[in-house]
Amino acid sequence: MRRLLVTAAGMLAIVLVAMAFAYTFQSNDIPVGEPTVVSWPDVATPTPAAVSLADVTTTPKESAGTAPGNVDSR
Amino acid sequence: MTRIAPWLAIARSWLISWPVTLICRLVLGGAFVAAGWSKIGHQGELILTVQNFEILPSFLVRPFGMALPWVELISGALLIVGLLTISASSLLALVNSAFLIALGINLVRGHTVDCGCFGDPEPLSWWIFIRDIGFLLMSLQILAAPQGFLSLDRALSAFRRGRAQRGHGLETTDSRG
Repeated sequence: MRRLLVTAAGMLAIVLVAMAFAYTFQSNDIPVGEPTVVSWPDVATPTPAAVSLADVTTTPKESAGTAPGNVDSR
Repeated sequence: MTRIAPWLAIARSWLISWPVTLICRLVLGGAFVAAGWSKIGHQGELILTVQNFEILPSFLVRPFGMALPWVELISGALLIVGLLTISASSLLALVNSAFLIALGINLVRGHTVDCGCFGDPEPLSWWIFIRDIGFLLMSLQILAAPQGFLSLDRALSAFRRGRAQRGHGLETTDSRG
């Protein structure tokens, strides 16, 4: 009986120390609020890097020559 | 009274011998230190993984996900050095049983969630289930034969015994004097 109590006390001590460490050294990625269920493929596949608008829309470059319809009459 | 077959008696005595206990302590302790260490910086991911298992009530998901890496790390380290061996192996037996129940339910359900075992993404499989049965058997072996070879538990009890004997010797000397 005494041995069982000592074992249980040891287990409780380990859990309490672990909780103390866990709340002292929290990582930065802990979600705020209720975590949502994510299926396996979403977990495994990394999300693609965000593409900025600047990469998609190309700014029209000024043509080196004269613009069509603006032909030099000379 | 039934007689045990000789080979069974040999197997039993071998299974509870100190080398097997030492190997189980080091392998189980090393595995759980590695598992705990790989999760410590990623508690958020672990909380999501625990949520994805859909076993625990939501109010328990966060404390379990936060404490689990440290429980694994501390228990594994205690097993390696042989301090609080019985408590640490009992706790790991409980943790492994919980893992087995959660894994079994999700494998039967057909859910392919992340295992969250050793940090890297790894889908659930029967192989992980068998590996956890191995870990559970190791923790039960340590509980069945908590030999203190190369352990702090044995060193501390020897120290305490020596101190008690010295104290008893002093009392005897005093009573004589």
